[in-house]
Amino acid sequence: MNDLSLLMLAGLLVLPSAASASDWTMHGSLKNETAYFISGEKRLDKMQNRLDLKPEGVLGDRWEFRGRVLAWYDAAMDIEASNATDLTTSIKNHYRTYLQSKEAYLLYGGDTFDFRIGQQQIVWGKTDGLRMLDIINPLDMREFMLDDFLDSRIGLWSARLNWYADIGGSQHEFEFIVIPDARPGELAPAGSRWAFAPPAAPAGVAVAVLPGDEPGWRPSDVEAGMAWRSNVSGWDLSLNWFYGWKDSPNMQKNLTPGLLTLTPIYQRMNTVGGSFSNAFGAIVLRGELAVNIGEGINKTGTTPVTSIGRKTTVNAAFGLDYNKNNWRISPQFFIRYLPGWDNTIGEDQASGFVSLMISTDYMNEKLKPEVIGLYDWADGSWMLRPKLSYEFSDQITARLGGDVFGGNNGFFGQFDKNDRMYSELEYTF
Amino acid sequence: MNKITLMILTATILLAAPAYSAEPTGLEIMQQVDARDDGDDLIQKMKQRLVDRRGDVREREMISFRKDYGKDSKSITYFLAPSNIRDTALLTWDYDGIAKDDDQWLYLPALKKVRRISSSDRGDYFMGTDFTFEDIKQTPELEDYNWMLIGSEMLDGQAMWVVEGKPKSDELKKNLGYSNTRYYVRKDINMYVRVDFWDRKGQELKHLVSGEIKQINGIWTAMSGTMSNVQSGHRTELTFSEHSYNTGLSDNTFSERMLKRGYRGK
Repeated sequence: MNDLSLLMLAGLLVLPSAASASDWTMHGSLKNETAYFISGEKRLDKMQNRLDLKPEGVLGDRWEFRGRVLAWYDAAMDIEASNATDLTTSIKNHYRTYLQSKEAYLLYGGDTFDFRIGQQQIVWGKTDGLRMLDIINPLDMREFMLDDFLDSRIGLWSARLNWYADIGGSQHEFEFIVIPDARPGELAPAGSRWAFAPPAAPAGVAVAVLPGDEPGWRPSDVEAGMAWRSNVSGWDLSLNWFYGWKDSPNMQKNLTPGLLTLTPIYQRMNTVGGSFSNAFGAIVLRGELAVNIGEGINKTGTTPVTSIGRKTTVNAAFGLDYNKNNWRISPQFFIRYLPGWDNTIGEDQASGFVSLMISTDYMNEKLKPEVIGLYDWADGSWMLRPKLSYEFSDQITARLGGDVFGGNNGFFGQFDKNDRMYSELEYTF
Repeated sequence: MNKITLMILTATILLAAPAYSAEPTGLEIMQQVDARDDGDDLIQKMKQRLVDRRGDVREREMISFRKDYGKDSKSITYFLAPSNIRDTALLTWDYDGIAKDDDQWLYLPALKKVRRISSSDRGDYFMGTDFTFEDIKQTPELEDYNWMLIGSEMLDGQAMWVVEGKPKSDELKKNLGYSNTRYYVRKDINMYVRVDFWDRKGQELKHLVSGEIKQINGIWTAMSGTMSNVQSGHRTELTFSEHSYNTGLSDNTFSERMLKRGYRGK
């Protein structure tokens, strides 16, 4: 059953009960997003005409329905000529149209608990731009990581209970999540300009990629999680545990004479961690820790046994927000560390990123300049994202920006030929 | 000292004494403003009109909830319209005095995250309005200012105390964004109806003028107010409606839970 049919089913389920005492609203936006590659082969990246709908219903005192559907037509796929490399007919078909429900859930608000059931986006963590604890929903990476997470997160059908308890005079929140709809992330199609670079093959060796056994709607694939949140002596704290699937597969290799076979292997892992934030004068400190136990990793071998493995990885982030005279400055530091690392592992023992966001506003928040920079300190690649937005009215906002990549290969450097300028024009209702 | 001198001195003291006892100090007036009955809790709807110097208008609708905890208070404000800021919500735990900074959290629906925000830069403007975070409080932190009664005036047929509040230090001037403030306080109900502000350099900055004031559930309530920035030509018009005082709001109203859930008219 696809997302849309499930959304419709949810709608049908709630409509009869809604008929008597419901209050339905529809908000959303119409938006044009146009991007043009200014490096590599210069051409349109996209000319998306988007419709974003958010139907909501108050179904009496306790029940609500909340949904979101995102659809677009990308005219660039019909304007640009096809080629045999990064804009094949198949790639164009992947990008031309999009129709997905992002959320469609029922919310029951009890006195001491909230219960949500349906397709949801569940967001954990305190960091911006890069995800550590925010691991529950996989991402659609059709535009690498340039799309807003709200748009690129894949909604998962799930049940979530948030229970609020007064313990010792302070409020505590306990969250319980069950996700039968286990799914991996979706990558850009192989060969497209936003596809990750494939593993290098020895000279003269062909590469074949076999289909992998993706997690799905099976009892054995169910994901589950718990979290605790509270404000303790001024600190916003959380502890989190999630038993799920790693969003991206590891590539199991099998090298035979003249052929390298790659098989995507999806692996489960436990994530335990927590987050914190607190304000000290003009500075807000925030951070999070995610320890992935049994995370699938790539190894340097070329046999099924020696090319993938499992390790405990420690992922931590620390950031601060400095707010003064209408300027916001937010540096963040991310680190990933593999205890017990050895040279058969296909990544460095320590890797990570630093990021910096600077923003301000003028004309009573009509004009908002912003720049975000991300630097991969392990491989030296980087990405710079300047943006200027202007609010013409309550309904109409225009944005102009760029995405610039640098470095030789690496996480960002592999897209060095994908620098782009973009414009957005959005009407909200 | 001869008898005549003694009699003159005694008469002077006797005549002057009533005048001293009848006229409160600036601080005492502002303390009375702070102590004015404004209900133990309040729900109200707000409409904002943001008007720039060209006359372009942006409109916003909000609902806010406030509850007093002794001298502290908690409030939560939800943006209901327009759509591009709908569900943005601000939670404030406002602590009396200057010993402890207020705690503030902002829910950003575009991120689906609650962000802790710094409340120390009270001179920052709130969501594009002409009100700073300091201005949207019920009354300023009295300890931050030197208060001085500078006179009495009639304004719109009402007798007013005119009280000047000057930040006590240059650091506070920078933080608050003001070098001077002047409050016009109605003598009969201890409520300010006009405030003038001067910027850090001493230049005239903006004026807050309350509109209709009436009693709701026995509590004097401003039904509207306009903050006009004379330097930028921008103004923010506020209209308040649907007031409900002393409804016994639950403590849970002022929580991260409710920030994330948003307001759906229940």
